[in-house]
Amino acid sequence: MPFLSVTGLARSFGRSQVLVEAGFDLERGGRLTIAGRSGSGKTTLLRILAGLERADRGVVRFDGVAASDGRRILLPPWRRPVQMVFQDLGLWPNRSVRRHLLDPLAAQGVPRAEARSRTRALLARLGLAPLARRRPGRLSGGEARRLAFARALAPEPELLLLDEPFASLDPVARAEGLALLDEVLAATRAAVVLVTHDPAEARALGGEVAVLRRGRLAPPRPAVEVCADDETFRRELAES
Amino acid sequence: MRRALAPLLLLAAAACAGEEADLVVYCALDAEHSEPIVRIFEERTGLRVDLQTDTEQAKTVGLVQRLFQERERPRADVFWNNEIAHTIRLARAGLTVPYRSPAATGIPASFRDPDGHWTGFAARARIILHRTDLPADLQPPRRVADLIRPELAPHGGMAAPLTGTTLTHFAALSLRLGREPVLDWLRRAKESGLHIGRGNAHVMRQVREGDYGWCLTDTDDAAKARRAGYPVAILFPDQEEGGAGTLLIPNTICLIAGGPHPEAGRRFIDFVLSPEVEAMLAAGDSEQIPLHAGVAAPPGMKLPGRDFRPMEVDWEAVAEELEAVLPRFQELFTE
Amino acid sequence: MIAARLRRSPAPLLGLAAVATAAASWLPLLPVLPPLLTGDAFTGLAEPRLAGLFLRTLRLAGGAALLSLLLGLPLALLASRLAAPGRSLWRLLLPLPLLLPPLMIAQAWHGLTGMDGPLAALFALGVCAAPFPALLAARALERQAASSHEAALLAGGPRLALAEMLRTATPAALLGAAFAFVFAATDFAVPDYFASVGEKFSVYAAEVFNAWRRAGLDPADSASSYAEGMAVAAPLVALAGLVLLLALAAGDLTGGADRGSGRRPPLLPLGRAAAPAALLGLALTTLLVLLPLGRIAWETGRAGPLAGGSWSGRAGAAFDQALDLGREDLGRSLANAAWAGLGAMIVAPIWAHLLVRWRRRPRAVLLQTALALPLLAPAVGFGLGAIVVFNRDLFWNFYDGPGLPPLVLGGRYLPIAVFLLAERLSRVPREREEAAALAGASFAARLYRYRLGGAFGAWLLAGGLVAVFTVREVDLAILLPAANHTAAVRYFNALHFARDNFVAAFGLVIAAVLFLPVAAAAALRGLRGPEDR
Repeated sequence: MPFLSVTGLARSFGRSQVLVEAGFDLERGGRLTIAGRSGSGKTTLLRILAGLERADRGVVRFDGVAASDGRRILLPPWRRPVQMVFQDLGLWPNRSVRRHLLDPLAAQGVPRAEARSRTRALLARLGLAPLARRRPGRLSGGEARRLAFARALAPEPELLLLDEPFASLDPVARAEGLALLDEVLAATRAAVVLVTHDPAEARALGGEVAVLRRGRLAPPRPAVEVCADDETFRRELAES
Repeated sequence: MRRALAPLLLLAAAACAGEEADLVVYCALDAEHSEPIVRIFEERTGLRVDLQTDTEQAKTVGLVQRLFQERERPRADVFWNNEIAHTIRLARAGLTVPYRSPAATGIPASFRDPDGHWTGFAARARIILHRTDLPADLQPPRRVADLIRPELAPHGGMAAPLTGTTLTHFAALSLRLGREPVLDWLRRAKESGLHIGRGNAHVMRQVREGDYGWCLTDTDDAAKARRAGYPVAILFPDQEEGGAGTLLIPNTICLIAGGPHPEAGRRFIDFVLSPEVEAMLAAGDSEQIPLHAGVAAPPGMKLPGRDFRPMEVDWEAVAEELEAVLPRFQELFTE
Repeated sequence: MIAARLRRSPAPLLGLAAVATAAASWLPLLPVLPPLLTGDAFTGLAEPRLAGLFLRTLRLAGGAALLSLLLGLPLALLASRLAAPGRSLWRLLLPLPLLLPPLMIAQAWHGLTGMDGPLAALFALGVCAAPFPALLAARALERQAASSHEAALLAGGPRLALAEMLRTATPAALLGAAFAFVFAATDFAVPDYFASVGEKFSVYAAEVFNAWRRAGLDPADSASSYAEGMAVAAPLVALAGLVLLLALAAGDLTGGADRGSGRRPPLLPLGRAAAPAALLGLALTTLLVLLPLGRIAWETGRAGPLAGGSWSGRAGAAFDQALDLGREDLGRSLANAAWAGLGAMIVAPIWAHLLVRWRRRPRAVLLQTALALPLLAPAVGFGLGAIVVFNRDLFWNFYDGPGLPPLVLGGRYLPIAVFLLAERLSRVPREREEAAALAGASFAARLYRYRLGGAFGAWLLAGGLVAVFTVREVDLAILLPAANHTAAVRYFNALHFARDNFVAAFGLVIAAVLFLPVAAAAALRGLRGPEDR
């Protein structure tokens, strides 16, 4: 039984049909990139997986248990084994870096001592330890991104959703971002679904790539095939 | 930038469009009564009057403060006060000029300034307003002094003597009975259980609602309670043999020194002091007591001399006493 | 070249703001300011009676501010972000208590419950001021980044999401509570009313009024008596100023620019808690709005047992009279309010821009203090100062004319708009202005179009609050010639002369007229689509 199973997912906003019969399976610890052009419905798909958005039709299952079924959200976001890194990061302006990790752990009932040690370790691993007491307003763009990843990793999710986390970065920052992705992948055994239109990110993630074309999700193929080179990837997207 | 400036320029333009009146009257009387009177004056004379009214929020001294502050360049021509003490203060400060209106000849001399700075008319009496449904064994006091008798005090109320006619009343009593005895009486009043309210209208409302049985207030407030259908009646205090008599506090009117329209001001004073206006004020729902001899009072209205004995008062001395006792009263009632 | 540079520079607009604020806010303070600044003003506090009054005022205003926060914050959550029935209605009715004079609400509560004494004053002042923290917090909640909320939901469930919402709303709510403190500390009428109907107590503002009452007693020396009025007020001004500056500093220290995608934050699903939450919303709205308004409505036709006619007949007559006598005054009040509100909407953003730019620097505190003073100084002193400044040959027509009330009333309440907008502008990402600057936009366009364009609600609220307080203010209005013919003066004149039916009806008419734009704004919001998109 696949860890994550998505079948027949459909969603429209008004007359615009964003997702049509999208479906895929993902094994525990698997890696999948959803590639598509801007506005192709990638983020909507991710949000449905997280339980933040309703579908019109289709089913999302975790370990065979339905989490979303048609318009019904059977498992609310906080009961799913999922964390997400948002495109705009979604940091909490009035909490320190440390609190971004500690507070979710506390909310999930992790004992205080364990929460502290996990927080310390993760901050150290992602190079945020010296900034532990800062608030997001006083972080650089790169530091803020690291924090968003650290927060998503702290509760040790089984599925990590990444919504174009390195979009619109300059080449240097993007290279740093990819390095960060490597660090993150090394730090987690979670399955990862990445949404992007950047072949380098898809290559860095590895696993498989599914291209979203006019709301229809093509069957996943190995990343090495779809992203063999930038030109191949561009052609795949252009067809969508 | 230009679009942002446009409203400011319009504002400035609007500000310059103020139309000057032919007469400016500062008036502390209820606007509901003063406005119709001013309208009649405007219709008869063709003059445009800017009537400025007062409020309780500024404790009835809003316009008086304005008169003091504007003394370098007076804007008011006439001050029509609904009591007398502040008017005398203005006169003593040199803010008024004498004007002996021919219309005031019918008003008793005790309500006219010997120097002609002010003239009194249409008075209110300081009375005891009481409920008519009191138990047979509970009767309202017949003397102001009795308000604090132990068996009566918890059933009665009065306004704190910090403003308005209550302040004037206690300044008059202070002059008559001595400052220390009055201060001592007020001190005892605070301890006696007598309800001390924020104003005359306020204590009237408490009696009206049945919160207590009676209160010391003015005839105009009492008239409003009675006319609104509440079971209340009026008692003129201190009428016993040798008693002080009931205090009458008149409206007063004066001409402001250096006002921009003195001639129109005099015409207005003549009009307001006429028996006709006193009759209108008597017929209104505040039932102001006419001072002109021979003004037709509405049926049932009690008149001084005929139905009750008024207190004899030297108003100049009362105003002087008021200035001396107000800080002492404030100390007593602000804690 | 120079013209283009000037267009892009903030200097001309800052100059305009400085001139407008000097005329409207600072000049009237000049004649009465010296007593405020001398150390002598505070020596009075050594006197036990005054010290006692001061402490009581501190407790009363602190309690009222706390109560406004405790009532306002939950209501803000219920009205803006919790998925419970009734949300739109609570949001619509939220500003209503601000539209009525606090004394009217105090009387309504006494009539309803018989409450009296200092606790009743604390309650009434807290209830009246609850819309301050509620409105400001609701606005802050409505602009929380959707992703920030969703991240909290994923990471820690509804509890963490709720905690994050509270953190988002707190700086704005604290500023609202600071406004509540300022108004409660300087209010004289409400404590005076509750002291007169029951347990005797006094507040420091009464001492300030006493000083004005003594002013002019000595005709030869009225100027020094007025100075005494201001000197007595000095500790109150300092206290209110301190609280306001602390709230502003707390806002400055928290958070930064909003980094959201612009997507509206979703509602927090409450599940089984939705019904109790709806009941809480109903209870709070009933407490803040429905009960006092219901009582006031009943007062319009109230009479004694011996009165003839019916309740509806008397109420109808009261409304007829209110419309007949008060229509023109209300029209003038609205004109004053419109000009004052508009002026504040033009000038306040400029100061707000400067405060945001100087954020966390000492000169920002100096500017905040200078801008706050007109609001903190006693209204009577401000009005007397306006007479000294404008009753001159140079301003002969202006002093009497319709331009003075919106100028001076708007000048007094400008600080509310400035601080509210500074808080809002500090959340607007810098890039928005920088992008416009690179595109060659003028400073005015950058400020009003690109930065405030996205914060239109806050901009409107800032102007709206100045407008509402312009209509409500009476202590100052009574001292300005053209403001004498306005709704507030007629209302308090009638209140003084016990015209109770008229007062209730006219109060409701004023509130209804002021409420119309609020309702229209709510309808517009409704047309823009549901907030949970």
